Formats: sequence, C-alpha cells, structure tokens
Amino acid sequence: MKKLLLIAALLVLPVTSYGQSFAAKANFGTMGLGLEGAVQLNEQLNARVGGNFFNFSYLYETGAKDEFDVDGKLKFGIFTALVDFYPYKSGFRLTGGLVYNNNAVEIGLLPKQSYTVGGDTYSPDDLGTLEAEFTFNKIAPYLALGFGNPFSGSSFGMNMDIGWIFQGSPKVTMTAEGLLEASAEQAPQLEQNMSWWNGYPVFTLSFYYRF
Amino acid sequence: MKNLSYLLSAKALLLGMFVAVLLYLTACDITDPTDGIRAILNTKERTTTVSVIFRDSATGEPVGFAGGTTVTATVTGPDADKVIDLLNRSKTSFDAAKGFLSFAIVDEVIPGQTRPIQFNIVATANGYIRTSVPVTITEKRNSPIEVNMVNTASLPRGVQGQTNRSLGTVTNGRLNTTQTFSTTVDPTTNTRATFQIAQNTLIRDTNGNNMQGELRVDYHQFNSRDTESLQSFPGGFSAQVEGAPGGAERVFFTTGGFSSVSVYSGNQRARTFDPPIQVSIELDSQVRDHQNNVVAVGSQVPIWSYDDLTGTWAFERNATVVQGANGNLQVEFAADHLSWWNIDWFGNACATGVRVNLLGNDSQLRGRLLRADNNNFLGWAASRNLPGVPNFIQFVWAPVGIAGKLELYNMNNQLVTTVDLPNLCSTTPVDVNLGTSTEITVTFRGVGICANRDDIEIRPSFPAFYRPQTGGSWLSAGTVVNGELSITLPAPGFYIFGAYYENEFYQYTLDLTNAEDGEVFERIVDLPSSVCNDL
Repeated sequence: MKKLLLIAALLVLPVTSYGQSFAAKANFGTMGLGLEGAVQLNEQLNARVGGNFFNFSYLYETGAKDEFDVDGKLKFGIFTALVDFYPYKSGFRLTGGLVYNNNAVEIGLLPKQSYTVGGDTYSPDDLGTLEAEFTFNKIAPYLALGFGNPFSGSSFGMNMDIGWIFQGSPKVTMTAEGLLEASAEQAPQLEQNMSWWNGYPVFTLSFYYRF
Repeated sequence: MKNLSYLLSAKALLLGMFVAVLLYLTACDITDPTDGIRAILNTKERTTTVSVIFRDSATGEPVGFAGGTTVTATVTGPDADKVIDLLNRSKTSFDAAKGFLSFAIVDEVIPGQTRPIQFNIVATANGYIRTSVPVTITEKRNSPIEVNMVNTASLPRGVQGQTNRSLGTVTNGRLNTTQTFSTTVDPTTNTRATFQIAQNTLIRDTNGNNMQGELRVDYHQFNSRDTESLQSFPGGFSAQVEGAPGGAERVFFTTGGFSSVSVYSGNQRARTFDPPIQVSIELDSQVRDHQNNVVAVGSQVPIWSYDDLTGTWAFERNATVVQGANGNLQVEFAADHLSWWNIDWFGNACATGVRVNLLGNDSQLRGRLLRADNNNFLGWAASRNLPGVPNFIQFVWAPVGIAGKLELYNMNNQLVTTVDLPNLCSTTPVDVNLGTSTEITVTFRGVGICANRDDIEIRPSFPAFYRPQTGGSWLSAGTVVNGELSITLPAPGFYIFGAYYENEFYQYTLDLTNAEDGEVFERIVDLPSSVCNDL
C-alpha cells in the first residue's frame, strides 16, 4: 500500500512543473463505488490514485426440498495507482498501473434438511455450516482502455474504463462447524478447482470535475 | 478524411491487439468449482461403548470366526434399557459377527462410580455352553469385555462332559427310570462328576410346565486347576452374590470346581427337579480353600447356583467334604434346579484394586493374574492406554488379603515379564519398567463412502479390534473417532484390524513392516447399505 502511494507521489511531482491541473473523479462500476484524484503530467499522461469499495450480502433460499441455502457476501476494497496514456491526444487512452486488491468473496452453505441414520437424527444445527472465503493477490497489475480526459475540454464530464485486474487465482480458506467440520479440509481442492479464475473484469463509469 | 480513416483503423487495430493480449493472458480451462468436493460428515459419536470378544475357551479364537456358528448376545439386568446399538437404536439382543460385538449406552447417561451402569450379557451359540457375564461401567469410555465360551465338540483342557445324552422319557413330568451319568475322568486332576436323577422325579420347565417326551442332557464339569477351565467360569471369580453367609454382595471366589447341566426335550428346557438331582463332584487333590488351607474330610464348602439372567450367584447351602469310593475327596449336594453350579469358598473383594503402571510400553498387554501362594488362576486383565498417562492395568473387585503375581503377555502371546503384587487391594501403584524399544505409534484414517452417493464422505466413530496377522490374539484397539485411530504396536509387521458395524465384521490386513513411528495410513471403506440408504 505504501509503495503505491510512493509511486503515486512520484508521478504527481512533475505536475507541479506542467500546470498544476487536478481533477477529482467519482467512480462506479465493477470495482464498486469510489473516488479518485488525478493530475496531468503532460499533454499525453495523467496519473491518478483512488479507492473503490462495495459490500453486498445475499441469502439465496433454495427450494423446500433442497439440501442447503447459500449465503453469499461480496467485500470489495480496491486501491488504485494508475497512469493514463493518450496516444492520439484525444479522449482515447490506455491505462495501466497497480491495484491493491483487498477483495473477498464469501460463500456459506447452510444445511436445511434433517437426516436420519439408524436412530440418529442429524439436524441442520448438528450438521453446522460450511464457509469458503476467496481472496486474491494483494498487489495486482491493471490494464484498461478508456475514453475521456478530465484535463481536456469541459471541466466537468464523464469517463469510461474497460479493463482487467490480473489478480491471480484465488486463495481459498474454508471453515466449518458442527459435524461438517471436516469438510473444511477440502480448501486445497476448491482452490485448485478455482485456479482458472485469475482475473477480474473492470467496467467503470466516472464523473469528474477539474479544478 | 484520410487522416480520420487512418486514425480509426489505428484505434481498431490497437483495440484488437489489446483484447487479444488480454484473452491470451487469461486463457483458462474452467473447472467445475465443486469437482471432487464432497460433504465430509462426522457421525455422532457414542460416548460410552462396549466392545465384546466372545472367545473359544480352548483356542482363544473368536467364536464363529471361521463360520459355523453365531453368538447371540442378550442384554439383561437393571440397565438393559439403556443399551443401544452404534446407530442409537434401542436394542437388547444382538447377533455377534465372527465372535465380535460392539454396542453403546445411551448418550445422555454418564456412568460414574456412584451410579454405574450394570447389565449382563447372556451368550448363546450352537455347539457352545450358554454363559453370561455381568458388566459394570463406571466411566464414559470404551469398555472391552471378553466372554469365554466352551465348545462342546472341542472341550478346553480341564473340562469333561457330554452333549445330547439320552435321559429316558418323562410322562406328565415324571421320569420313567433312574438316570445316572458321569463325566469322563479329568486327566489333569483325576476327578469326575456324577449326577443322578431318581425315577419318578417331577421335572418342570422354565415356565413351570411339566416336561414331556424324550429327555436329553448336556453336562460338563470344570476342574479347579487348568486356566482354560477356570477362565470359563461364568462372569469371572469376582462375583455378585445373593444370600452369602455374612451378607456380602460382592465376593471373590476360590473354586473347587463347577458344573453346567442342561436337560431338555426338543425346545422345552427343564428347570426344576423334585426330588433334587443328586450331584457328586470329586475334588482335585491340590485344591485349597480361599485361605489356601488344605481341604480335608469334614471341610465345609459353600455351594452356589448361577442365574445367568442376573449374573448373580446364589448361595444354596454348605456341603461337607467326604471321602469318595475311589479315594478322592468329594462333595455331594442336591440340586433342585438347573443352572451352573459351583463349589466355591469365598472372601471379600475390594472395588478398586492395585494399579500396575507399565512404563516404557504403550502397546497393549494382557495380564494373567495368579495367586502367589498356589499359582491358581484368578483372572485376565487388559492394559489401558489413556492420553497423558503411562499404559496401565487397573484391577477392580480384586480379592482382599491375597497376594498375586501378574504375567504380562504382549499381543503375540509372548510372556514379557512377571510382576509380584503382594497386595491386590493396595492403593499404592506398582511401577513396572518394561523398556520396550521396538514400538511404533501409527495413525489410521478411514473414510466411508456410499455407492449411491458420491457427494458424501462419512467419518464414523466406532470401537475397533486388532491382532498380528500371524499368531497372537484379537484385542480391543480402542475407539476410532471421526474415522481416526492412533495406536501403538509392539513392532512393525502385518496386522489385521477389524470392526463390528451393523451386524457385520469388517477386517483389513495392513502391511506395516516398513511403518515408521508417527506414520499415517489412509483407507476408503464401502459403507453398508443400511447406512447408505438413509442418506
């Protein structure tokens, strides 16, 4: 995190010699809701840092005869340190940089049926719950295409980013309570199954104001 | 225009290259997230379990292990209603499998010293003499029990008798002719037992009805010297008694011999005889009473009869030792009902006997306890291995005032050492340094799977048994908890592990010749359909 801020600071320094242009951006998109600060380095380069957050929970109640409900949580926290390059000195740009990825996805399985084996009844309380948490590499590269330049044209406007966070395959942590406790031992298997998921798509709309 | 076209095509190319790079970098082989993932379920663990080995007294092998007969175990007694099978179903009658049985006490009941769980296991099997053993449980753990049974077609040393002998006919309960039958002479003690039922004796069955038809008799006499005979004593020599002189309810017996007689006509079993059966039992010339005194003509000896449903010996009367016609001492008494009969002197027993710590050894040992003064067999004891404490043997209901010696055998039936125990009721533990160095402790992890459910894996809890593949004896291996069992073995080698579950005995031979201390072994087991069908 500190490295990102240092990089961002180094990028900002040349601005003081260029024109001291500064813009604030409000973002919303697949990284959540966030704020950014941008500075113009030169006619073709901007630098920006920001943070995006989003929390969402949803309990999916399955049918009455299904074996478990699913409790899902999204916890987003992404800090960005990016550079925008305008190759044609127009609104089209290439964006690259690093993100600090504090995202986490939690999936919980909540048994809802009772089972009878011999004389034993295994109630949902007996079975317990099984939870899996997916986290990603904290420092990840980011590439994107974008449209819009807060330092060109009107001092108020919109930007758009389409990009990808190369966040690596998720690390899986599983916990379980009750008689399902041993199920949590399968975290390595689940992690292997999810190894194909090594990126995160980004689509962001931004509203900016240039000071 | 030209510049715009150039610009648009350049942007398109750039965009295409960018997307292509992204796709290349993120090319992936998507796997089903649940692939290979199962619900792993620990079964509910029974808190108090009992694991039983029904042993053939002559061979030491589990009864019916090679087939041919099945032991039926019926649980009776004050706490029989607290007995369940390993799947929490109330049950008082079980079929053992290959001579093994495991069951449990209801989870809510916690046995203790002040409120023990007490019941009897009555064991019957085709070709074996019916017997029983009283069980007392005072701790929440697995209790290993051994029941020695006598194979009437292959009698153990020290036992003489006959099965299915004709005994005349009864009409309206009356015997048509006097019947006299004797055992063969016991080669160890040169003694025999003789039984006589007088003509016109009224014989009634267990329901009080007159016997009818052709009578048959099974009768056996057990000598007071051979271990194979003495270990067949129903319930062991630490006994619950009724009507004992002096009022004791728990005593320790010193036997002068005991007998089993069963009279029947088809499925009708005789119970009472009026007038009584006349019994004459010759005594071993080496027999001693409880105080180790020589037995002579005129000595008094208590006579007891056994109720196998309660596991209790009832004092019948005192008999006087007389000189027999062939020069042997003998005891004569009248038996008005059929059961096991016992010529036994007795003494007090202490509830908590001496503890013997087996230092330097964590593998299971069996102890054969003998009287120090005359080498008479007193009983068997198994070592226990609890977390955090040395391996030990704890005697319960031991004889007061009798010195003993304990022979320790490993699971290969090799004598490890003999320990002198001057006071079997001492509160001071006795430490024995064994210094065994070839032991290894290994862990087994077993999981159960069902053919009809590949999304579930079961890790059950149950008592287990084990033995060396060649030689040795089956012993209790403790309890598998959530599919895992750690056990100390005397040395690397081939071992057989087994478990009784849902009326079946499952056994697995494991090659542990190269096993190292601390090694973990995993195994997948197919669960019985009776369990899988419930999932």
